[in-house]
Amino acid sequence: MASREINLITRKRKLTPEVMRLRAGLIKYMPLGLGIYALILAIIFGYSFYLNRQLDQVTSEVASTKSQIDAMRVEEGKYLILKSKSLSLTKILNNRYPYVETMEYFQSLENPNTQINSLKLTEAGDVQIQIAVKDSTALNDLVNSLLAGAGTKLQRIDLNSINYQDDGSIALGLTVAAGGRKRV
Amino acid sequence: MSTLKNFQESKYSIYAYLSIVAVIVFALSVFLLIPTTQNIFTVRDSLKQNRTDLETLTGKLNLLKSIAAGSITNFSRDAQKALPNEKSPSAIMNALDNLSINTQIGIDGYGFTLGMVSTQSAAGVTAPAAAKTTGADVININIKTRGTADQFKKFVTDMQHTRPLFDISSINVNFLGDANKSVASDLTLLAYYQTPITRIGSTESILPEFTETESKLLQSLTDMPDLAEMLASQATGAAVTVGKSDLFSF
Repeated sequence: MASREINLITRKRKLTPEVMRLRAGLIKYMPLGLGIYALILAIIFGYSFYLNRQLDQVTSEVASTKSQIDAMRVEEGKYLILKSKSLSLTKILNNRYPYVETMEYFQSLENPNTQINSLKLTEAGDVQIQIAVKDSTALNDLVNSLLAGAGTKLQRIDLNSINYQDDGSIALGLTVAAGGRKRV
Repeated sequence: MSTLKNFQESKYSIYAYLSIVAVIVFALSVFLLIPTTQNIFTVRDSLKQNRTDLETLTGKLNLLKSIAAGSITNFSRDAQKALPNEKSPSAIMNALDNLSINTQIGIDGYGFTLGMVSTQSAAGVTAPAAAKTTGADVININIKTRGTADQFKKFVTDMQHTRPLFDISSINVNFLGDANKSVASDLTLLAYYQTPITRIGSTESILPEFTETESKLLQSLTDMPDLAEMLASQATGAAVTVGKSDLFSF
């Protein structure tokens, strides 16, 4: 009977084929995987370092610019004063009542039979006017002239008083809304 | 040594190495990679914000440098003549006198409502009467004039086209009915002044820009005749300074 060999060295275990494949795979791919991981780490740390350097630089520039701005407070004050003045000037100059234009309009209604005695104009656009007209014909002409200006020159016409004078003339008191605020 | 050698040769060694590598990778990821990645996003946001701030601040600095070089000096002087810093009745009277001389109309009387003449700190918190819509302080003036209708109209026209600025609240004209077409009138005027600011915003505050309308208006101020300047040599009486008005003088 042929003799058989037996393995008496127990520590010499034979690795299974699965383990062998796994070991071979790890030996082949682990350095590659670890290398990629290390590369990712390097990229992220590098990018983080770059960004932090950039941040430090920009922060330093911001601080430097702020200190330069702080040193120019007088110039900033001058600018803000000019700005506040320009705001006020714009509001004042663009909201003026055209007194002369309105006055000339009412003077244009005058003729030998119609005379303006007084004129009170306010910036709200109210005009109180006292007019002396010679007779009812002149009064009719005046009313027609006023109506002709309605909608364009005049927004409202109120008759306040009408008095017949001793000399036969008529004194007329009117309140008229005329014109509007604008740049004159 | 033999134990280690035995272990390396055993089928479990590969799992052990694998576990050690996994633990190291996990630790690196948890304690370094993830925090650093999160930090990148935070730093990027901060950097973006700082760059925006820097751009804004640089723009402000350049503007201030141009101001220091005198870019707005003329506009500021014109604006100051139109809207003085100080409540100055003498300057107002000089301006009105000059206006009456130029238009040959007679001013029969002045009435001023000056309001507060002390500094705000002396008077407490009460501020001078300000025109609500304009942002400027006002002095109310009543004047009586006498002249022809044409002279009066020129007087009013010039008043609305000269510096310092006056606004007319109301006009009461009486036509005297003579051959010269004379008129006697009462005018209620507003003379404007604007006490300069004494405080400015923080360093980071953005300076307000001038609108196109404001820019055009400031340029047009150059063409407005300056009444106060014409009679400056005859000016009497010191201006009443309100507040700390010389902090940003031109």
